[in-house]
Amino acid sequence: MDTGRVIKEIEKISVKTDCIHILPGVEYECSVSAENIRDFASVLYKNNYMLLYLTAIHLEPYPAVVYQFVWPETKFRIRAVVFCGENKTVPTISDIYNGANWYEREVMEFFGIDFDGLEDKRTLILDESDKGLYPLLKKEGKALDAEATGFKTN
Amino acid sequence: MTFKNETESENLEKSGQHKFLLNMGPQHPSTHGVLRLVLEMDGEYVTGIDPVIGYGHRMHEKIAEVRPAQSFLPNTARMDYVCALPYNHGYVSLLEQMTGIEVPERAEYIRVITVELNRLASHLLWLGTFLLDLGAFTPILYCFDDREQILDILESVTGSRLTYSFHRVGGVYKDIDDNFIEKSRAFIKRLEKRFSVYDKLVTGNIIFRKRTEGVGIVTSDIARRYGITGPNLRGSGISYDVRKAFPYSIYSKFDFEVPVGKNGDCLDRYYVRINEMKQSLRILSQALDMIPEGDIRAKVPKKLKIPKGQSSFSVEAARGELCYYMVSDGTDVPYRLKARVPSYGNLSALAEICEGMLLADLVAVMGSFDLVIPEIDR
Amino acid sequence: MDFIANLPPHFFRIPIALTLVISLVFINALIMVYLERKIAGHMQFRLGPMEVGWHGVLQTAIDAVKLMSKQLIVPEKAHTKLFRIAPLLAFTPAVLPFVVMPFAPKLQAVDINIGIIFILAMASLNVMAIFVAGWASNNKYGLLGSMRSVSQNIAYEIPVLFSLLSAVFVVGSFSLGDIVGYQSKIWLFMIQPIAFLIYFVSSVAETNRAPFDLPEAESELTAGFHTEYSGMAFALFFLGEYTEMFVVSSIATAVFLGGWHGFPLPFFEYSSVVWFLLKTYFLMFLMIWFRWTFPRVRFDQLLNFSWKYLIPFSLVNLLITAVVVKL
Repeated sequence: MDTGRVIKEIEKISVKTDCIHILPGVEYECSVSAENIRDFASVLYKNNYMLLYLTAIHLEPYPAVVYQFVWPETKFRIRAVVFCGENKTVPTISDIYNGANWYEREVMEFFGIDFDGLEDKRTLILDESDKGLYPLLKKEGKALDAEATGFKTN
Repeated sequence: MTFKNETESENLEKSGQHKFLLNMGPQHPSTHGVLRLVLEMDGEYVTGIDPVIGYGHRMHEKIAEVRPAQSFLPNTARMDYVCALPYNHGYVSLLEQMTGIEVPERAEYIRVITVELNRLASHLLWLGTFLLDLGAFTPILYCFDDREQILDILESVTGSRLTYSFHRVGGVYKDIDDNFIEKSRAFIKRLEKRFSVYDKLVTGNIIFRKRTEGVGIVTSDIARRYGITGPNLRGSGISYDVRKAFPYSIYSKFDFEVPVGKNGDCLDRYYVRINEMKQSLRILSQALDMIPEGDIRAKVPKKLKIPKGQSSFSVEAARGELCYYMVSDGTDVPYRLKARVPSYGNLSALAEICEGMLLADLVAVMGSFDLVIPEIDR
Repeated sequence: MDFIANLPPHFFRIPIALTLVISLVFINALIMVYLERKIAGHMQFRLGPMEVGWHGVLQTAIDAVKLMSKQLIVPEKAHTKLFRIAPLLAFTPAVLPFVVMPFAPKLQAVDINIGIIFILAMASLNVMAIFVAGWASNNKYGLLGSMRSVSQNIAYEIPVLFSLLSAVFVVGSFSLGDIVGYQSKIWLFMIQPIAFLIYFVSSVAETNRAPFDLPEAESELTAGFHTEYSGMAFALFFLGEYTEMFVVSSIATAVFLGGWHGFPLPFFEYSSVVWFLLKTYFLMFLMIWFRWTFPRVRFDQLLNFSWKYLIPFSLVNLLITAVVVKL
């Protein structure tokens, strides 16, 4: 039950990045590669972390997925950023955190990011006929790269 | 489960499993708001649940990306119209955190007072509708009687009754006067007496206890996997309240407890919310005593430039943790705003919790979860 | 003229009685709807209907006119004939028990020697109507409601029967006139308190009133068996419900609460009728009070309550009564 052990464990599969704005409380931000995100989530699940939310940001050249975890007992937050590759695919974590199902479906219909291994690929909030609309993608040429929005890619 | 249309419903009936589909909502008395549940039923038992959401979708997150950050403030109140002030509070606090604006202390007190009043109003509404779902018609009018008082008090200072835009970047819109404080004190006294009425009418009732005890148990594992927050999480015995865990604003100055349950059933969630109302009253009376004199609003430039970077801010809304996450590219228009709404996680767990239940229990669990659907749809 | 004079007296009594009874039923419904709304209002810190007439007394009449002028919409896939018959089925049997009801020593249309049996037979027809209505609507909520209604009525008719039987054992007659006559000195309620309690609880369930209003459970089944009904067809179900309430309360009055017996009221010639109606309306007030106080029970709890508690208790009570009477 100590945060140091968890951080040691996740440091093996992630890279710590600097938070520009620190939350009230303690926060740890890191960037994870797409292959490692399932291991990352498993480690946190074993250590009683809770998935708070999961969302995406349209960056150039490829979007990024942001995961926010919280440990209710010791009040410690972890934010993980996954930068998608060319195929815009991230492995799903919805079998580790079932709640991720809805968040991943939402990201899928708003950003067009595919979640590998996600069973339920129906639209969640938009109508089935609006598939392919991707409303939260920026207009052509308006999307900025990671540096311009303060993300540290390391 | 992928059954949304009629042919699939007919196929299920022909499959010889003696099951049928029941379409609950979007217009149904106990799916408050526009939630639709497609239920697979075996007689009275619910064997599968497929929530269909999005009927009230307004794409607030996109709206936030196309206008100056300060102009988005009214939209935050439209997500959860039952308890709108924490949404104001979280949003302006996020902007203040990113731009480094210092808020006068009096303004923070006013924010906490109004937010706690709003939380009380929300919990009172929940109490009424929860019991209405269980088939008791009278408590909702008792609760509305109390809730009206709060709305009147809030109206006198904010100017609106539901969708407030009262908290502003750098402070609040209007100062409170002695009349407001007096009325709030009178209300605290009134509500403290009313708890015994609710206790006699509801808690001791054998039918109520039989309907809620052991029904809809949320284990701490389910809560973790689905991201359940708020009173629903605390009913399962995990003491996680953003006001205590990550003390924002001036909550660290107040003496209050975080009520927790034991079993995570509907009755525990009921107790947690009732005790939370009592704690809110404690915070309120302390805040009303401690409120200092001073300014209510810091000087804020008209065009508020948000420094480049990303940040998030969590507040405890009435239904759980509300988390705003903003990415800025250095202009006055946010690059991306994500609102993590509490009911979203709570509702997604419903399917697992309620499988194999009686229809009546499903309604009870849904009532005890205190869902506000426009908040989920955003 | 000889022909008419030779006709049995029932030939005249029953039509007149039926006419009076039907008007009584309508007046009762008007009063009950008004009372229910007013009592509910005052229990809930509000006033209830206030607009039409003095304190809203004409509200129910206006509502009735509105309901009559509304269209009865038959769903496309419904069974049209059964759909239209069901409201009548709900209403007609509810009226008939009044023919044998002893309102006053001489105010009883027919005193048949199996009065109680007749009433029970008529009262149990109500479930048929609900079943037909739910099935013919071709609506899943309606069907669930009627399913609930059937099992609920089967479960609760048995304790009703047993508790009434224990009263009958004491008196030794099925005729309601005899039963009321027996109670001139002591009310059966004092001899058979358990039977009275069981009867009253079960009859609340029989009439589908809250907290046992499962067939129409608003928060679960929207409106249950009458989801698809509108206009006068809906109003007939309503009438049926209030009439049923009146019937079960008057049986309870006649069998357990001494019927028309009571001390003669000053300046009032027909005090026996007044006593009967007072007791009946007091019981109905209790039913309204239940409805606006309690949450709804769950389906399995409802059935368990009947099969595990009410039926065994009423059976034991019946046995003890039989033994005591025999001795």
